[in-house]
Formats: sequence, structure tokens, C-alpha cells
Amino acid sequence: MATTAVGPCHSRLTVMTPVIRRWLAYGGKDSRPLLKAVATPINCPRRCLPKVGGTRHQETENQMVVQQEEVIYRPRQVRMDWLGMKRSWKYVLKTVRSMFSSVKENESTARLFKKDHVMYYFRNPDDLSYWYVMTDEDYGGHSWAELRQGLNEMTAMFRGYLSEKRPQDLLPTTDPLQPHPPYHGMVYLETRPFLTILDKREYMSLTGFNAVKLRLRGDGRKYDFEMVCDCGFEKRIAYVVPIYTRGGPLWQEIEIPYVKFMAKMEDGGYLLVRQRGMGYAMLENFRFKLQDGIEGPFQLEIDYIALIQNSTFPDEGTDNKDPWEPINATIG
Amino acid sequence: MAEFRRLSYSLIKYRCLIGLCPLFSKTAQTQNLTPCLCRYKLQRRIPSRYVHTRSLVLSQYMKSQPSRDDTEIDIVSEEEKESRLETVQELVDNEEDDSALLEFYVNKAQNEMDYMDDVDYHDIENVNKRLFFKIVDVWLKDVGSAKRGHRDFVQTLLNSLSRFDVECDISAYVKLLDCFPDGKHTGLKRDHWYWSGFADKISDHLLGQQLMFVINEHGAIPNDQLFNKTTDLFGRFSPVTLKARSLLFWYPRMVAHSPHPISIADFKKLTPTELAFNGLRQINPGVDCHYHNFAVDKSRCKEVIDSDKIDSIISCQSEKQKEQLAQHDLSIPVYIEGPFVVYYRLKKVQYYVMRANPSQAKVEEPQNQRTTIVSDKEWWSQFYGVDYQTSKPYCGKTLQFYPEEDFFPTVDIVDGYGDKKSEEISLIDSDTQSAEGPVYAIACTDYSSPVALQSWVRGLILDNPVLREASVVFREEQSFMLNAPKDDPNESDYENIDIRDI
Repeated sequence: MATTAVGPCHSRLTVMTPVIRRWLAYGGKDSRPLLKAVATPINCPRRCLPKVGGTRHQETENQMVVQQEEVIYRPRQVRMDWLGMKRSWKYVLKTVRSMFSSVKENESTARLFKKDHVMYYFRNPDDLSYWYVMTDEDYGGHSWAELRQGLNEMTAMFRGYLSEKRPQDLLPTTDPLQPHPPYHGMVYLETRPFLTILDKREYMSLTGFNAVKLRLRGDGRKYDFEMVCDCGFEKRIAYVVPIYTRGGPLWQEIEIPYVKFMAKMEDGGYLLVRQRGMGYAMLENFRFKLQDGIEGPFQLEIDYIALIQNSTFPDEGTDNKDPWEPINATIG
Repeated sequence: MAEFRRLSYSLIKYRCLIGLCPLFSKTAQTQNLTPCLCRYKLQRRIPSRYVHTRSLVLSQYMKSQPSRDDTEIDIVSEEEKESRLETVQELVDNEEDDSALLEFYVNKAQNEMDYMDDVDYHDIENVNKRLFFKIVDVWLKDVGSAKRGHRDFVQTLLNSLSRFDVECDISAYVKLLDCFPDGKHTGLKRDHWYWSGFADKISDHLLGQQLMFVINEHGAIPNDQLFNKTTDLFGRFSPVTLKARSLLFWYPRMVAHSPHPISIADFKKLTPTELAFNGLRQINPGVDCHYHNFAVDKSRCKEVIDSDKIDSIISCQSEKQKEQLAQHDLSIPVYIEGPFVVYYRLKKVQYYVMRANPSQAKVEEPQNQRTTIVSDKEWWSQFYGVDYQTSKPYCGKTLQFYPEEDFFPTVDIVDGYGDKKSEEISLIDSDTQSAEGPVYAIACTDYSSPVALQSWVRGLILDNPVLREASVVFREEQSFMLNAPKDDPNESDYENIDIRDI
């Protein structure tokens, strides 16, 4: 009788990475039901079934009672994402209504009747929930940041401490014949994506206007204002402009034409050799990033972010167009 | 006859080595060596890995060996080869200080500095910078045209630029490019669009890329000399020239976004007073601002400050702020808030703000009222919009013949839906004015006591007589920038966060 090779018996849960396991356990956005039969390791005779219940005392040879580790009770696994379904239904109704609404009620066509359009402002404390903060702690850095309401309770304050201390994985070598890999502390403030039907990411649009207007009050540092304006699966292109904040007690109003933005990869720190045009209807998020290499505290107060139409700004620019592009793009 | 036989046998025995005989070599012809069947020196072969990493050690080792005549046969057996490699390996392993290469040349350059260097480096004032250029020259002289071990040398210097105060100077990086071997047969140049893809010497190009990266990191200003040298050395189709080109392309475009650009090299030369002035110009912009430097009355103020810090009070006030202060209500006090901190490039500048509270701000009364006395020329010109004497029409509500000239002209192009377009920014633009009062003046100083700020008020009285009668109150503010914690104070809150909320 031919024997079939039995491979290693692993349950579905153990094969997955710990991240996904935790995500499912905490009721993530995966609304597919988890099959119980696959979860239990029936086909592995060597593996013990999980013990259900509280703490148990294990008796050893020397009759010493050893307290077993406490079993972690995870919350009930959510099979159906009801909140997500609610959100999706809301957008279904919204799209159906927009078919039968007038030109001014429709958001996209209402722009033709607007001189300027305010996208984000912070008059209510609930407006802070549209943004989130990320720091270099994810890869071992030591900076921290927070987003809270400003002192006048009408603006958002993004403040913290930027640390240039290297993470343990990137400590420099003492050998002078080896290059010193670069590291700078990083902190950024980003908008949350808008999720529509079945958690699809909705794009915002920059159409109908010419420039971005920001009213903010910084601390004299250089922040990078980025807009991700690209459709792509994993790697997207972000458009960047450095903002040299003045600092001080006076508010600073900045008007940046779309044409002045410089294209770079969303994850990378280098500008693209082959600059390409911005997708005006594919704006995903805004980001205020600080990575100027100066160790110390920072503070940025934002009043509003708006889009304006300024006829003195050009619609098509040649500032960032390099005549050596076709040759340089094939090198390296 | 016996000797002839012996020689012929030696020829047969060593026939594989006939190619190295000076009889057929060009060096022999150039050196006028007489062709003879004499014993010759075998070229010693050293594994390449030792050359790349520890060339100095080997050169020292080779010098320490006794010099042999060219007439000796140097046929090395395998045992001897292994023993020689072992001695080299011992030297490599026993070397405790890896920075021997740099220290060796630093000491050598310091010893060889003489009066002629004052002529060669007459344009360099900094002694450390002169030492850097001298080190490179000494190495170039020692090493010869082949420039062996250039990668180690360039890498060590790139890692220790700050030691010589040369990181912001582009001429130092251009000088480092001289350390690369240059010539037709080095295999470094990539000048063909197709064959560059199969080119060798990748480590040299990677080192060049790292050099460009260091230029960008330290803020040195790239110039045409850098680009021309990289193209001559690395070729047109190399990533090093691409990086140099991108530096030249993007540097002016990035600088154009800052209103008052200043290079790091110039920034380091600023005195504390200049730093304060630049910081104030950044905080309080305007072409018509008035800047003053008031001395602090040291008989009253007993605070001691270092010489590196700002010893006096540097004040800045624009015309608009002057007008606002002139209209200040005397029943309300004027507040001096501080100290605050602002970053100017790499350094921090401490400043104080003179302002009033918002809720008690004075409301402007309308001027054209029926209860005013009618006997003025001003009333006539305001009422009729015409000059009293010349009867020339004024421009708008201002008592001027011609409109205010802006640097850039304002163009109002009316679109098709101009009348019907709605505005959103104007609805929210003035919300913060109700929460924050007007700013009258800003001053920069490193003093922290209110006694020192009295001299500021005394100095401003000349241009703003309102301050003679108004009461000035010092309000110490707890600014986050001065007292920011290095560790996250909100860390305890993160334990209760649910992943579903993120």
C-alpha cells in the first residue's frame, strides 16, 4: 500500500502571521466568517488541543504546584462588520440622491459656483478625528507627537519632540572605512482616508481650483506639505512642497499653486527623476511631515486648508521640467 | 661548455617565465637594460581583498621588508607564500586602531606644512580647512598616479569632514574627486548608453553616489565644477552624474520656496545680533519695519548673560503695528508676553511680544458723523472726494491722488459666474481675531527678567508716545517649546486604545 507523504500539520491560524491573527481576533475589517472546523487542529495528533477555562495548577514530580499562565480571553470575533455596512449604505443613498439632485447640491458640480473651498478646518474638537499622527517609533525612533486643540480652541495644534537619537538597529559603526548610514527622526500628521461602499477608499479632487491655501502658525521649522495624488495598488506618488514656517505670534497664509508641487514616491525620500503630472481627481490625503534633522520640540498650529483660484498663478508650469529627463531616467 | 649546458638547462627549466624577461619588455627598452640571461625578480601576487581593505598596512609591511636586488631569483614556494600571508593577516588582526590611515596622514601633513603652503592655500583662512587640503595633496603625492587605496581614503575623509570644518564647502568635495584614479584604462568611465550597463567598478560609483548624498545632507551648494568633474571622471551614463545633475537642478528650486534663504556656511558666521535680527525679520515680516537695538540698564538689571548670547534688546515694529498701538485704549494695560522660542535655521531665538487683550480691544468709531464739526479741509475732501485747493479727484476713500502701488499688479479677471460665486474663506478667516489681540511689537533678547524689558519700553516711547501713559504689564507665559518633555506624556493613554479605532 502506497504511503502518502504527510506534510507538517499546521492549522490555518498558526500559518498566518501574528499581525493578521491579532487583527482577526480583535474584529478587524475582514467580514468573512471564520470557519471553526479549520481553526481547531484536528489533523495534528501531536499538538494538544487548547485548554479552555481559567488558571489550572500543574502538578510536577516533586508535587510543587506551579500556576499556569493565564489564558488570554480575546473579545468575541465579529463576523459581520455592521458598522461598515452602515457606512456603505449611507454612501449608496448619497450616490443615488446625487443622481436626482440639482447642480448646486451635488458636491462635484457645486465647485463651479465657488471662489474658494475650505477642505479642513478645526472649529470643533470632533474635526480632529479626521487626522492621525505617526512617528518614527514604529522603527525604533524616540520622537513623540500629539494632536490637540489649540489654546484659542479654534485651531489644531500638532506638537511634540523630534529626536535624532538612532534606533538600536541602526547604530553607527566605529570603523571609519565603512559608510555611516543616514538617519533622521520623522514625525507626520496625516488625514484619514474616507471609506465608502465596502471600505473602498474615496478620492478627493482638486479640480476647479488653482492653488492650495494654508493658514498656519509654526515654530520656524521646515515642514513638508504632501499630497498623495495618484492611483496605484501599492506604490503611489506624492507631491511635495517645503513650507518654511515663520514662527512667532502672527498667522502665516501660504498660497501654493499646484504647479509648484514636486513629485516623489510616497515612501521614499527622493524626488522622482521623471516628474509627471498630478492627478487632480485622485487626491487621497494631506500630510504635514517634519524631518529637518534638528533635535528639539516642535509646534504647528493649523487654522484651515482650502483651495483657491488665483488667476495670476499659471495652470501649466515648466519649473520642475528637466530637459535632461529622457537621458537621466535611463541611467542608474 | 659546461656553463653553456647549465644555462640551457636553466632556460628549459624556467621557460614559462621567459615572458617576464626584460629582454622583451618595454620597461627594459626604456631603461636601457642590456638583454642578458640573468636572474630576474618575480612579480609578487597579493590577493585583491587585502589591497582593498588594508592597503596602508601592506605598504608599510612592504617597506619594512629588506630591499632585494633585481638579480636575485625570487621564486616563492607555496609554504613561503602562506607564511607571508600569515604575517600580513597578523598585522591586520592586531591593528587595534582602525583610524590609523587618517591619523597617519594627518600627522604627516602637519609635519610637512611649510611656508609654501601659505602661498598655495592663500584663499583659505581656516587652519583646519588648510590641513584638509594638505592631507589630500600629501596622499596624492605619496600614492602616485595609480592612486591605490583611494576608496578607503575617500571613505574615511567623508566620515570625518566635520573634524576639519569643511562639510559646507563644495571645494572640499571637488578636491576629493581628485583622489579617484583618472585615465583611459581605469574602467571607471561610462560614456556609452549601452555598454555602461555591463561596466565594472561598481564600488567606485557607489562611493561617488555616497559623496553626492553627503553634499546634500550637509547643505553644500553644488556648482558647475562638481558636475563637470564627475562627468569627466565617471562618464555621462553613471548614477553619480545623475545625482550631481539632480543636485544642481533641485537646489535652487528648493531654496526658492524660502523667503529669506541663507546657506549653512553663512549661517555659521552670524553674530548673535545678526541672528536676532534675522530671527525678527522671519517673525515679523515687512519691508517697512523699524529695527532698534536698545541697551539694557545694567545698574538696575543684575542678570548675567554669556557673551555668546544676545546682551541687548533688539526690537522690531512695523508701520501697521505702530498705528494699532497709537489707537490703543489707555484704560486697558499693554501686556508683554514671553519668553517664547522660534527656530531660525539651526538655532533657537528667544523673543517677547507686546500685545493687548482681544475682548477689550478698542472699536473704531465711524468718522463721517453728522455730529462732527464742519470747518475742516479734511471734511471737504472726505465729503466730496476732491481736493480743496486743486479740486482734483481722489482715488477711492483714501486721501491720495494715485492708488497704492503694489510690487505685483492685482488683476481682477471676471469669470462668467463672477457674480454668483460664493466665498468660504472669508466666513472663517476672522475667527481667530476675536480670540487673540493685536500685536504691537516684538523684541529679541536672552534676558528673562522683566527689569530688562523696561529698557525696551523706554526705547519705544520715542516713536510711540502712547506707552508713556499706558500701563505695561509683564505676563510670563509657560511656553511648550521651552519646557517640552523628551518622553511622551501621553504614553499611559495608549494602553486603552482599541485597534478598531485606528
